[in-house]
Amino acid sequence: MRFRPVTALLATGFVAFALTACQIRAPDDLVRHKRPPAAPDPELFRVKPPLSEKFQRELEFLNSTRQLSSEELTHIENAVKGSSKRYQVPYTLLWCLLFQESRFDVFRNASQTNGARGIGQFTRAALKELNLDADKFVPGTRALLKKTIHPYVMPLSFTIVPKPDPKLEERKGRKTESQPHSSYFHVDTAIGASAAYLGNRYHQLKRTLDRKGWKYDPEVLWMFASAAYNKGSRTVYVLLTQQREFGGDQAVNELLTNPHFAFSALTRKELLELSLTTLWDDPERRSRYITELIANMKAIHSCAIVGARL
Amino acid sequence: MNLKDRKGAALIVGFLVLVALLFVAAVNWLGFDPAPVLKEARILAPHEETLLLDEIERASASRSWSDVESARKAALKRLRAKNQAPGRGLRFYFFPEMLGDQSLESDISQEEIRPALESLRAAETAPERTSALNTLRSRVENYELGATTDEVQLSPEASRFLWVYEKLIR
Repeated sequence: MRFRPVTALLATGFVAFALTACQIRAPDDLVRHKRPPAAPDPELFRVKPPLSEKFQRELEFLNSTRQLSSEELTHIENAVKGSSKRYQVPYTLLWCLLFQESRFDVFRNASQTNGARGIGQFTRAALKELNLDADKFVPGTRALLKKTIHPYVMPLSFTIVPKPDPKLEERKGRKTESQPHSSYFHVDTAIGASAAYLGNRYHQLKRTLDRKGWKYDPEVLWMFASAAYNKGSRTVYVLLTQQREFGGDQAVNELLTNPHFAFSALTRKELLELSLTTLWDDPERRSRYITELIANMKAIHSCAIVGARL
Repeated sequence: MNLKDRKGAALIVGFLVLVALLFVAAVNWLGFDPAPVLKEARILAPHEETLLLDEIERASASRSWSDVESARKAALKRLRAKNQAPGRGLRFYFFPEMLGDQSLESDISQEEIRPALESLRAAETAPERTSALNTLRSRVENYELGATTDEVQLSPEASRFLWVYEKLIR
């Protein structure tokens, strides 16, 4: 058969058309930025934690080395379940967040006088918000804390008995149940306070987005709320503001409705570097801050989100 | 147009269509997505927020709220005249006038910082002033740091802002 350019052209055109029409994709490893599915995963946060093998192995290790007994784990899980219902936060997310923060060690860093302490790694600032501004984001939070934990739960504090001795192991000789109810080292108080604080971050962001008229998926918003719990709302606010400024409504809409985009935004170093340059001048401090945020987001979301190939 | 010319034109059109189709197929194949990549981050003009804080701090020496307010307004007016467009500085959440309408930070400024400052100004007794200042401090710290970040990492501007108002009420 004689070679005819017109026939060859038509044949190549047909192949190109077929490829376009069928939307055939390259294998994942060839793709730098994967195109995510159009709809968010409907099962976000609706599974029994932990999903990630890493956390499963760690949980088994803690149990086998008696650092976290089965009774303690049951107590903590029941408190997480109760608090998630009361403060309307996703159970799985709260479980994974607390596990990432402290590996369920109620006395983590208890002997320190500054910095983050306890099961939810609270700072003084976080306690201050619940003591001074508990009802600002969700009215009735203060009353709920008093009603469900203890009438004298407020004001919350870092009181601990017996007094910490830096030479001793923080857990040694202490029982979380024997701590005062107002102490963040009392397990029920700590989990209730952490759930309330996470709920505050969600409602703070939700209110702002509602006022601005930005669209969002309520489940995806929890991903940003967990970032705000961990590193402050400002990181999230700046990230979203910049995304809208440079990518328009569509870009920010995708971030707030698609868990894959949300996860990508919260774990991509170069994007966070660009966003947070204006917040943290010092490159070393910024880099540390971003590395911590990425590690936390990867650990929490791979523990809590099913189906989303994170 | 003779037969040869028509054939040539058809070939050119066919080639262009082919190139277009191959381009679309390549884009599909590689799955490029515009989001969530930021094109660039706009950086503030050097330390404008520091200039604002300088003015406020100077005025706070007189221990008069009205002096602080006037200094604040005058400094903002000067900065605005210089910049023309609304400020995009991300450190200006203490100064909502400098933020664009679509900035999420302006909402924090309007809904959390401004009411706390108003309470501070309205406080008559020392305990009321201390309580109002603590609320302001708590809002700034929780907005910047969240539950788990060390307090020492509060931005220098936020620390200075709080220090100026603390000095004003003492």
